[in-house]
Order: sequence, then C-alpha cells, then structure tokens
Amino acid sequence: MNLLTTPQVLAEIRDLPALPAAVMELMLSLGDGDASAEQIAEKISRDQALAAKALRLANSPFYGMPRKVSSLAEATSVLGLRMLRSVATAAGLTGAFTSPTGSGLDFRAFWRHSIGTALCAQELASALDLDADTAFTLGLVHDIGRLLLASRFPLRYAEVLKLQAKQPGMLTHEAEQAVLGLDHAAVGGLIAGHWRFAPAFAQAIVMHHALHDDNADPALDLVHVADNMAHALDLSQLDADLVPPLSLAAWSRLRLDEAVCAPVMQRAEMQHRAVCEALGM
Amino acid sequence: MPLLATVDRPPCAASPPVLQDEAREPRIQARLEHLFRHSLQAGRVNPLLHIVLRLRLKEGA
Repeated sequence: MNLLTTPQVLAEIRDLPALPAAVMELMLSLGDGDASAEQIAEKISRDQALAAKALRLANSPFYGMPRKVSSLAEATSVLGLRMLRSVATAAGLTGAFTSPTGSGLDFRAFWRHSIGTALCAQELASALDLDADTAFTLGLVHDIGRLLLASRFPLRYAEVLKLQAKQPGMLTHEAEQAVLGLDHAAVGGLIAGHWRFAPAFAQAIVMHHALHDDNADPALDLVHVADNMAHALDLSQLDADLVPPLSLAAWSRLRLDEAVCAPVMQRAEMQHRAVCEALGM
Repeated sequence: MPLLATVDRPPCAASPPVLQDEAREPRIQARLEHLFRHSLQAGRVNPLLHIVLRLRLKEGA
C-alpha cells in the first residue's frame, strides 16, 4: 500500500465541510477574556443542539442542583462561564463530525480521550496560571488528525489499527508512520492551519508526541502532559490504549509534581464523567 | 465495562466519589499492570502512572 503524501491529505482537508459558525466563533472566543456571559450565551443559543447539551450538563448530578436548570443564563451561573463555553465548544466540535465507517476507529473512545485531554489541559493550565481556555481547545483538537485519517482513508487506517493489534506496545503515531508515512499529529497541524488557528497553536498539535528537549513554549509542554494524563487515567476506556512516553524535560520545565498533578487529575476525571454523559459519549 | 462507573450521589471536589461497581476493581488492576508493564518494557519512567496508582489505591481504601 502506498504512503500518503501531504498534498493528498491537504486535498481531503480542503474538502472538509466547514464547521458550524457558532462552533468556530466559540473556539476562537476561547481565550478572549473580554467576552461577556451574555455574548457567549447568545452564541450558544443560536445552536439548539449546543444549548441542549449545555443545559444537560448543568442538570447533571455532578452539579447537584435541587431544581431543573432551564435557561442558559442559569446554566452560566451553575457551570461558570468557562465550563459553559468549554462544553458548548466540545458539543459543537463532536457534533460536527460523523463516526467514520470502515476504519475500525472507536469514535466515542476517540472523543472521550479528546475531551479528557481538554479537561486535564484546562485544569493543569489553571493550576499553573496559564491560559486555561486555549489549553482546553488545544486538548480538544490535539488528535483531530486521527479523525481525518480514519474518515478519509478508512481502509488504510484499518491497516494502522491492524498493525497496532499485531504488535502490542506499538503506539498509534508509530503505527501511522509505518503504514501511512505520516502521523495524526502532522495532519492535525494541517487542519489547524486550515481552520486559521495561530501558528503556535498548530505547532502544539504537531509536536505533542515529539517535544524537543529545548522547547520554550509552555503550551507545547502543557498539551503533551495533558495528553499523557488522559491516557494514564484511561479516560478513553479503551483496552488497547497505551500511555505514550512522557517528556521528563517538559515535566521539569512545568515544575510538576504529585502535589500539583493529583488534584488536577482528580478534578479532570470527575468533570470528564459529567461532560461525557451530557454529550452522550 | 467502563472504568469509572456512575455514582449514586453527586460528587464534589472535596470528596472523590466512592465507586460501587464490583467489576471495576479487577479491570483497573489489569489496566494498571498492563500500562506499567508497557512502560517498563519501553524503559520509560512515567510519574503520572504512579500518581494514578496512588489515586486508585486511595479510592479503594
């Protein structure tokens, strides 16, 4: 089977349907500290599916509300503006893709991991006084290249998963490189460029499995560690899932230790359960 | 079988949920063993796995 080329992948990316306007606006507004609760609620209310999922989360047992939350204004006060925006973004992005057929990729497990990475990144960023909103979006889309490869090249992606099954211990990006000649991180970087995300954002996606020891951008370290946390916590609930190698250089640069990471992981895990339930993942 | 079963009471940040599902424990152990084995075979140290192990032990206590 021939290896994939960048122009082949780019042609498929250009052919992707545009993300719904509300989702793009939400993704781009993450990190905009000036966006008011009313502005965010207005964006979400334009898409009924997003609004319904945000309300579902606000009504989940996790938040323990004694009565039903029935408006986005109330949901904002229950969830907080950050979580409202985050869950609506996740709902919009997951709803914009259909489950790829024929590749063998577990669509729900894929999103459970992506949402888990987003929540770990958000919590970790908060603990480290970094931009938690951007961290959430980065975590959410860090593996988006897998979804494109599995949906646009299903037979070849089935070969990737077959190789991985034959060689226990082989990581996903290693199997992708062996079968396809490129991996989901590189493809994710191309998609981020297509969506007009900042170059640094695309770079964090490209490098999440291959951090340089002299990296100076904390966002790259953060998404790498958050991905690792989500794998270690087994948030995809996929038996074949492995924990990729953790860059100890990134670990040291972020000055992480158990006192920082344990509460971050506990909070992210509890939020993950509620968010996945609200999104039907 | 999901790793983390739904809890009967609403969890809060101060008290991690007590997980009820009896089938959960063996799966967690098997998964952690599998992940540690892979980590050791690859000759890699991963402090996050040790943190997860301690969190699971605390939940089970």
